[in-house]
This record gives sequence, structure tokens and C-alpha cells, in this order.
Amino acid sequence: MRNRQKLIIVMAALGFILTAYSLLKSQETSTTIAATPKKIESASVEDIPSAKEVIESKVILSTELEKSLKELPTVDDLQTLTEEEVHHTPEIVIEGGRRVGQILEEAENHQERRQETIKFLVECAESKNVVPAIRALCWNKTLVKIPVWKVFYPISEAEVPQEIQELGLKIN
Amino acid sequence: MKFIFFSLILSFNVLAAEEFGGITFHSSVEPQQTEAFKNDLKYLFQSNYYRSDKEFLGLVKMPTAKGPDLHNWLLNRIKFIVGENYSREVSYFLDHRNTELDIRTGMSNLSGNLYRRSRDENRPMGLNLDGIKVVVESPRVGILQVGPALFTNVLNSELYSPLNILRRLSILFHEARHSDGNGKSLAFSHINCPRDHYFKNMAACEFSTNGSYTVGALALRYMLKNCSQCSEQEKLAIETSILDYLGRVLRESDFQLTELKLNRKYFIKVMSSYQDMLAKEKVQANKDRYAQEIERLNLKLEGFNSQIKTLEAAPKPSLVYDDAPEGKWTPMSLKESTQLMKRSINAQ
Repeated sequence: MRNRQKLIIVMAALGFILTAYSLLKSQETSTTIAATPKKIESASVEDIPSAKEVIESKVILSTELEKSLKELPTVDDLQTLTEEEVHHTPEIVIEGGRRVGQILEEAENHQERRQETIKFLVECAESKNVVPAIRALCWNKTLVKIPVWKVFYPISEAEVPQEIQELGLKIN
Repeated sequence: MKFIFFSLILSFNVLAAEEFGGITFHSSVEPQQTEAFKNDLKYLFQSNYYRSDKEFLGLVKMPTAKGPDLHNWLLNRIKFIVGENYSREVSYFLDHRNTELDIRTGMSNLSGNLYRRSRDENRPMGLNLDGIKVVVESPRVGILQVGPALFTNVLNSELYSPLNILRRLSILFHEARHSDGNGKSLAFSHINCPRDHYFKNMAACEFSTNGSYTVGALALRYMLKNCSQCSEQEKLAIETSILDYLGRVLRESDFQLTELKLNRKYFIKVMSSYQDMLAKEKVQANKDRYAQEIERLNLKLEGFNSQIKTLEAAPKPSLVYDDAPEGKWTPMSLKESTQLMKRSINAQ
């Protein structure tokens, strides 16, 4: 009985010491935190692009995409090919699809390009002389990317023929 | 001595032919191309197909489309591949006459056309393939010829890039479909595209929704869905090809629409010139005649517009042709084709 009582007293004392120690330690830490406020990282003024720079880069991108649009293969291009060359998908058409893929990839990696890219896709789908397969591809990607990128573009006003829209659905 | 000499020549030719996965590659196929085909077939056979495509399964009439199933489907339609420069002399085995085959386009299915001629002329026809006489008793004998477009490395990419592998395989599926059909649907021939189509007047369209372009497109779509190695740019390039193929499948109403719209265009031009003449005419009798004619033309135009509107609102669907093959042929079971492929892969 005495030994048991001694054990209880020793354990209680130990518990008290441990509790007191941890309380003291936490007070020190909070004092330390209060004493040395965290250094806030802030961007320097030079890092923020100016409004002028933003507009300039948008113009550059718009020009670049307009050029890409003009370089897409056209129905006139197909008329210069032989029957043998068109029996399966002509290389210029496949290359056109790859180029659209490259533009999408760049927009995927750079958020600031997305608005202009959606505009490019819609213009591609509307372009009467661009090869229909590519127009349909552009339209498909417009519908797929708008909700993913959360970009606004009034597609209800897009002049994309019904058959192009229907064709575009067939890759899904 | 002559006998030994000719035996050596014959054996050389026979040895030059290669077989892989049940398909025999004629000595005229360039070695690099044979290796590419082998790689393509191995890819098809060994790939995993986790994502399904019900439309494709329905089209090729397969409950499942794993690698061995796809290979079996092809093998039941393609048995021989000859090179681009293979001499297209056709032998008539009975009377030994030779004649040229008029085959156009890139990769071609020779057996469809050969069989049709043989049937129409009522005489057996065949080809000498490296010393083997192959009699074409059905398009399912399956002789394809490599075309110049097949091994163009599109986008300057590697021969073995996923893009080129899938592209070549889809062409094999397309050409294999030409081994099917009977009667009206024999060989699933292409038709000339209508005048307002982007391939106007070229034999690059089809009426049926189960023809070669649809088979090639849906096979490509199925393989793309299950392509884990395809880059984003390659995916878009392949999707473009799928859309290009499907854009060549016409509805029955498409031709009618083309003709109606063309007619309407000419009538409008005529009416416009009569209206000019009416405006300038001073003689009343002539004015009356012009006015009457303009009224009649207006009624015609209303008729055209009404027909165009009806067709556009409810286009007649494309046709589904009977794909059962014609002639004498023996189907190959899945077990047999799988054994052939496994043996070829193990021998590599």
C-alpha cells in the first residue's frame, strides 16, 4: 500500500512537471512569434506589366493567330491535288490539324492566350474557305475548351453551318 | 544446269516473301516498309483497349475489340501486300494471257477489282506472288498494294511515331473493307463527290455509312481513344483525319440538294436579266411577256426553295450496305489468327 501511494505521488509530480514545461515552452514560442513578425514577400514594381505592355502582347498574339488562320489549308488548296493524293487525308490537312493542336497547347500552358485562342477557333470554324474537317475540329474544340478554360465568347452569334457543327461532334 | 539455275531463282523469290501475323509481304515491298507493317500489326495486337466505342463495335460486328479481335478482322480481309512497283500483270491461269489492271489511287485493294472482272468475264483470274499462284475467287483473298501516300511520313515525324502507326493502321482498315460486300455493295466502291463538295468530281466519297471511309475513321477514333503515347498535337492531327473521312460520307439527299441549289442559282440569274430587260423595255407587249415569264420563274424558285428547305430540315439518311462477302473463301478463326501472330512475334 505504501509503495503504491509513493508511485502515484511520483507519477503525479512527473505529470505536473511535464505540463508546466510544455506550458512554459508554448509561451516562449508565441512570444517569439510576436517578437519577430514574418517578412512579407512582395513583388517589386518592375514585375507588374504595364497596361501598355499588356495591350502590346495582346496585339502580338492576335496578329500571330490571324497569320495562323490564313495559313490553314483551304478548299482551293485541295483542288490542286490529284485523286491519288486525296484518296486518304492529304498531308496539308493533317498538318493544319497539328497546327491547331499547337495553338491549343500554347493556350493550355499560358492562360493569357486563352481568350484570343477561343476567338481564333471560332473564326476558323466560320471561315468558308478553310477545309471543312478543320472547321469542324475548331468548332469541336471551341465547345470543349470554353467550359474548361472558363472564357467568355458569344458563340450563339457564330456563323457556323449546321453540317460543320454536326461533323465536329463526331470525334467524341 | 538450267534446272539448278531456275530453282535458285525461284527459291530466292520465295525466300524474299515474308510472312507476319498471317499476312504475306511480297518481295516487291521495300524492307523498311515491311518492318513498319510488322511493327504496326504488333502494336495493334498488343495494345490495351480500355475505352470502348459502341459505334465502331457495331460497325465491325464485334462484341469486344481487343487487339487479337482487331487483328483477326483484318486478317480475314487482307492476306497479301505487294509493293508500289509490283507489276500489275494479271494472269489468266487457263489460257496464260496477261493484261494490265487499271487500278488508281494510293494503297489499293486489288482483289476487289480482280474478282469483279473475273466474275464479269467468267474466267478465273489470279496473280503470281513470288512463285505462288493466287486465284482470286473472292475479294476476301485480300491483296493490297502499297501506294505512294502510305509511307509519306506526315509532319516529318518518325516512321514509328504513334501518329504514323495509327494512320497506317486506319488505311489498312479502310482497304480491308474493300474486301467485303456483294452484288451492288461489292468491294464498297467509292463514288464521285458532288459538285459542291470540297473533293468535287473525285472518287473520294461514299454513300454508305458502313463503307471504307467510315470503317477507317471509326477504327482510327477507337485506336486514338486508347493511345496513351499520342501527344496533344498528334491527337489533333488524327482527329482532323477522322473528320476528313467522315466528311466524305454523303447522305442520299446531298446530291439532290446540290442539284437543286445549282438549278436555283441559274434561274435567279435568268430572272435577274429579265428584270433588267423589263425595266428598260418600252414596248408594252414585250413588257407583258417579260412580266409573265418573271412570274412563272418566281413560282419555280418558290418550288426550289421549298424542296431545299424540306431536304435540309429532314435529310434522307445514308444507306447501310450488305457487307457479307461474295465468292469462295474460308474464314479464319480468332484462335488461328492469334496463333499466327504469336508465332510471328516470338520468332522476332
